[in-house]
Amino acid sequence: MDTADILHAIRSGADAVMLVGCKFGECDYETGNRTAKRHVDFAKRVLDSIGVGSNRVEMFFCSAAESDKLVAAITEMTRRVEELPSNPLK
Amino acid sequence: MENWHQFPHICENIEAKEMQENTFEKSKLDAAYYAVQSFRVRCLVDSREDILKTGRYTEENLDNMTMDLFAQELHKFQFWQKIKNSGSMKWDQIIAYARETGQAVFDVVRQAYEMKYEGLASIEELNGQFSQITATAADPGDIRPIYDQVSKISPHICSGCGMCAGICPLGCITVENGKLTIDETKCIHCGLCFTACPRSFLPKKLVDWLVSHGEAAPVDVQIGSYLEALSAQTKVPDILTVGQDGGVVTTLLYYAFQAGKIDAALGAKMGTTLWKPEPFIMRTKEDAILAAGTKYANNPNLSALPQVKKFSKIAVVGTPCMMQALRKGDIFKLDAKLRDQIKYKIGIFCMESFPYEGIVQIAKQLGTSIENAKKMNINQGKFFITNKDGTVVQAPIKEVTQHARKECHYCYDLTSESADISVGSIGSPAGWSSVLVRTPAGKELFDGALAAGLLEVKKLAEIQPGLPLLVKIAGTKSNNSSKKVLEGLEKKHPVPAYK
Repeated sequence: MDTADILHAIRSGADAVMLVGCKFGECDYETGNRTAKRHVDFAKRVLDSIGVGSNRVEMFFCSAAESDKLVAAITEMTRRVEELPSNPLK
Repeated sequence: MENWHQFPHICENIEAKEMQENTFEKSKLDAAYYAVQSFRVRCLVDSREDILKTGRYTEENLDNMTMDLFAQELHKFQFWQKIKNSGSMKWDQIIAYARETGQAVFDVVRQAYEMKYEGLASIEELNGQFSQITATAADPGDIRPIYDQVSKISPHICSGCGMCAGICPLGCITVENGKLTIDETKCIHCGLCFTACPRSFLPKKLVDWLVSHGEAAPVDVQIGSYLEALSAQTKVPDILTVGQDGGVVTTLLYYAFQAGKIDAALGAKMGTTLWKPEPFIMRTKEDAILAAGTKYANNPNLSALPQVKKFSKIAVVGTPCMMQALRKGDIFKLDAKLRDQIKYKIGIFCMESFPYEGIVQIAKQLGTSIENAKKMNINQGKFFITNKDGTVVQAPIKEVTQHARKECHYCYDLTSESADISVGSIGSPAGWSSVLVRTPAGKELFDGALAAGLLEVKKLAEIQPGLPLLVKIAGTKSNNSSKKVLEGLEKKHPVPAYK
């Protein structure tokens, strides 16, 4: 997963991109979630710089046992997508 | 050149005008999609923590650098889209495009050259002037960026300037006695070294353009662009006794420290081993005197860039390759902060440098030794060594040139064409130095030292042998470089691309 994947989703018409990963230190691939976070941070800056806005991408961290956190994250992203103008590139 | 006044804003933010949120421009998103895949951008993101751990860049510095590189790539792909849509663009259309998008013409032309290197476009020239750019059919996704070649910098063409070691975000390159080695276990393949290297590729046209401020000043084919050609000698008694010829470089640094124009200068001084120079960071005018005198053994000055970064007003003294590397950093906007900190690039004339062992051999060949040598200089086609007992031994250059670094013969530049001000002995009588003042920054420094009464000056045109000799010798070096490059091409060796 890298910045290009996030941008590809947006240019293909996605209203927002949500990434969910394990908590730091609990990744099956050791540092995969950290790498993803770096790319999400960069994607946010890129989206700001080209006028799309950084709030359309977010990364959340929760373990398999934390269903409440996952629900809260999905609710948050749904709220954002409803509030933001929809992506005209659909 | 039109729109040249925009040049000082070279590191402006991506969009000067306020950007509205939630604007989805398909073409811009496409360009951004290609831009983030660029090697040098991606690697900096991927290896962010590893880079920060080395302490070579602060978080803010690294993020700004990453965004700067991204912005360059973004603009390049936007320009490519524009060319692709119209098939090709002529010079006046390019100027109009720069104006329309609020970019400096120089930046747009640089993008054109990058596209040429990457195979995204071809450039047609008419009488040596940029005339038209045409998009090739390639899909940017298929293009391997020029930066993806980090392991391919050949040690056989290395100038030993040390820029790669200085710019490497992980500090995994060392340049020692003119030979570079890359620690492959640490290398992140960001390609910054390849971009910064003066021998990988050097867009000579863009260098001339930058130094001559949009070709406002004339560009001499052999010695580059300059505002004034002078001959000078120091009036500082302490420098007169230690300086190589006229002691001009030392005097310029002496003045810059005295006037508070710089708080550090990067140069070379003899190290602990006899006649083996080391990078030296000067902090005071007294330090400048310690660094006086030419060192003919190769010394990777620019590898000390990370150590001078903590100062805010820096002068760098170096050979033509070092000046080319710094100017390349300007062209490709590498590390904007450091670029702002470097106030003066002081170039010296250089025919070739020698490996340390070469210097030892030459001393032997001249019937003396490095232990006895007090001063070395090259003048009027001869290599001189002045011994500590005052005796002087000499040999024609032709007889010692076999000891020179073969890698140096790829260089075309005698007079540090990329510098703000260049200084060397060729063209001036003994005890004087020839000075080429090239840019407004160089002029300000030289005129300041002159006004402070530290320099004696004459016009180079009014003395013998003067400019004609300088132009002639510069021509010899550049012809030899062309021959060496052609030879290398025939043998399919890696060669520098000066285009």
